[in-house]
Amino acid sequence: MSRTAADDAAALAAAWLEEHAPAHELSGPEPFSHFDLMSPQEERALVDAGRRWQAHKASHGWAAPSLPPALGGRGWSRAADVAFWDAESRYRLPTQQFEVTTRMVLPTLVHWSPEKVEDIARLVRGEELWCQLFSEPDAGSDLAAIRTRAEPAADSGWRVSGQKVWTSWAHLADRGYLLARTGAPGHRGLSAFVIDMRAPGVTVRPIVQATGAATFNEVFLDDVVLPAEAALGPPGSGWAVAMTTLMNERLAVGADQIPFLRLREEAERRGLLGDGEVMAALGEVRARRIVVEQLRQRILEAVSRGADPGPEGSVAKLYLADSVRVAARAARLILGPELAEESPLSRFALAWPGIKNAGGTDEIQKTILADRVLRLPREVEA
Amino acid sequence: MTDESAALLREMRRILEAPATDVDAGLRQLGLLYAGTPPPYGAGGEPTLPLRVVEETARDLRSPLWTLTGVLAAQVLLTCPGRWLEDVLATELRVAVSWPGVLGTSRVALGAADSELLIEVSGRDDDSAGVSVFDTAGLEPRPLAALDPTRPLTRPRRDRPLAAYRLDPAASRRLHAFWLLALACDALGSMRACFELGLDHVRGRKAFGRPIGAFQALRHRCADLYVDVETTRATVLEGGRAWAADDPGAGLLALVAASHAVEAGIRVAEAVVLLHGAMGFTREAAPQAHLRRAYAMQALAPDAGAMRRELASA
Repeated sequence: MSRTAADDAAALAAAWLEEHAPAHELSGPEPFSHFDLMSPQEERALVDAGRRWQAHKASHGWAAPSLPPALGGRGWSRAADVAFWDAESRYRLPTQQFEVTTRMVLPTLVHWSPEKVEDIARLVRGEELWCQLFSEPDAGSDLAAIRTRAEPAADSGWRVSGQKVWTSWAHLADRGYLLARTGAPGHRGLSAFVIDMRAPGVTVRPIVQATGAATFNEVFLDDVVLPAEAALGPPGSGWAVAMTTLMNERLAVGADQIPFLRLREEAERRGLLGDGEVMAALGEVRARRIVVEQLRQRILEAVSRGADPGPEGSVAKLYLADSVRVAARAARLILGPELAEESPLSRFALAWPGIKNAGGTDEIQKTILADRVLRLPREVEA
Repeated sequence: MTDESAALLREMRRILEAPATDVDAGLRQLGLLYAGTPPPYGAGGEPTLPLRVVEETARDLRSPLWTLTGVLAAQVLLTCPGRWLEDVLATELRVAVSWPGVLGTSRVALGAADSELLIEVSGRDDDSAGVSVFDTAGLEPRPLAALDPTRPLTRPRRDRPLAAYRLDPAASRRLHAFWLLALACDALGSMRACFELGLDHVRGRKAFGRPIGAFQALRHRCADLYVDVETTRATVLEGGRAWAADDPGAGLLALVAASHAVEAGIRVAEAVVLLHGAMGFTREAAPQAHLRRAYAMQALAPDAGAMRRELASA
């Protein structure tokens, strides 16, 4: 898809959204972060609103424009999906809990198990919310070291035992996409599976974050039985399946985590728009938000040409994470002595380390750049 | 970038790298000495070609300054009523340029003391923006010691302008965006060259029996610098695109590019000096030349804080 075609997709998406998005927009004050405190009722209501929005998009062919029409798409390119997300992000829509589902799990399913038509269709229609079960207590950055085991069951299928952690929205999810060990240690001993989050043996325990929010979880898997058709990709291909997901995660780097307008409103409310230091800090936040959008534009163009977002996506991830830190610094400046009081803005000031870890730490991203882009000599053990 | 522009830039690089060529004559022949002007003075071509020329020349410490000042001057002269463009360009004069608060100060212009022309822009946006053109009488003949010897400076005397005219606000905004983008492209070119020096060094230099680029501390530092280079590249590409399309947001994107590039350029130059160890602090090693340039250009550029305050209120 050329830039023009992606632009056309963006224009069509914008026109459709103008008509359809307002009825689904959320009310109330906009949060600084998608990961702020929510009551269980608020969280549930947000998931329900997200399901309705997802179903509405699917019935109009906008759930994922890259899918074939039979699955609720338009048969367009991946770049059209990203163009749609960008257009969608201009409204306040209940998409946040569905991002893992629609932006990471969906392309992985379509790539590795296109025969799972029913699973894909339910996901696309918002009937099932997914979570991604990768990290473990002893395997985060070192993903290939995971120890959760899937053993072939006596008759057929698999029995899974182990522990996962940092699983966003697992407490709300219907299904999980699981990476487990089926063979020897290392990359080649891994396989991917689909798991029912309500199956016997699955226990989800929310983790309270530094901010007080609890958007991610520990997930305990205790002799969970999976049917044979739960396999996602051939046995032993788990690493390759996971890489498909992680490449798609790079496309999910968005500027909406840098809330420039909300921060400027907070500054205005406190009469700080004449304060040189605050304004310089806000200007940097705005510049960084624009740069993240520009980096995204470049990734989008690469994807339009058929290239992988690949390691270049690490630049965007690193810059986004650092920009959230800069936005948090601006929040501290705006708050002044008020920073000592608990508030949504003071929680935003506290929340920036999360993004530096989520989706691959800064250190992992830098190692990817050093190895795969700069082609520096391989790292040695000290 | 069009194939035609890419071919021109390749040819330019060949001229810059060839020993003992007459760079001036070579670039003039390519139409890149006053890139951005139409033939017969410049190569014409796509609107962003002059920005690419600025980036490309900045990659080389030996490029003559008038490839930069010529590009900046050309955009000013394009706003000129009457036959000024023709008259100035036909005589192939070396120009010094200044726009206090954008590039240079009221006491310092960018250009050699023996420049034959000074083109000074003043004011912004409102009705006060204007252009003055001076011949040698407008410049102090005494050379000014420059921190960056590749970027000579001169003092405006402003005697007897040859011409002076007002800029309408739209032309002044467009010119302002161009100069900021050129400043960012200049930083990008220098930054790329400097970063390449750093990469070559950590790949080749050995310590403890291995290339120092195998140590995580240096690998991660290089990754940080790569982020600086690539983010700057994104800002100038998107800013240049918007400027070429005469997009109303171009001024904003030019502020983003300039405020980002000037500081990123300093980070890269400082880090590459340090990556070279003690050698980086010697006069013979190239990194210090990039550091001089990064500091000198930051000093002539608008203050990053001021650019950000403008961004926050825009």
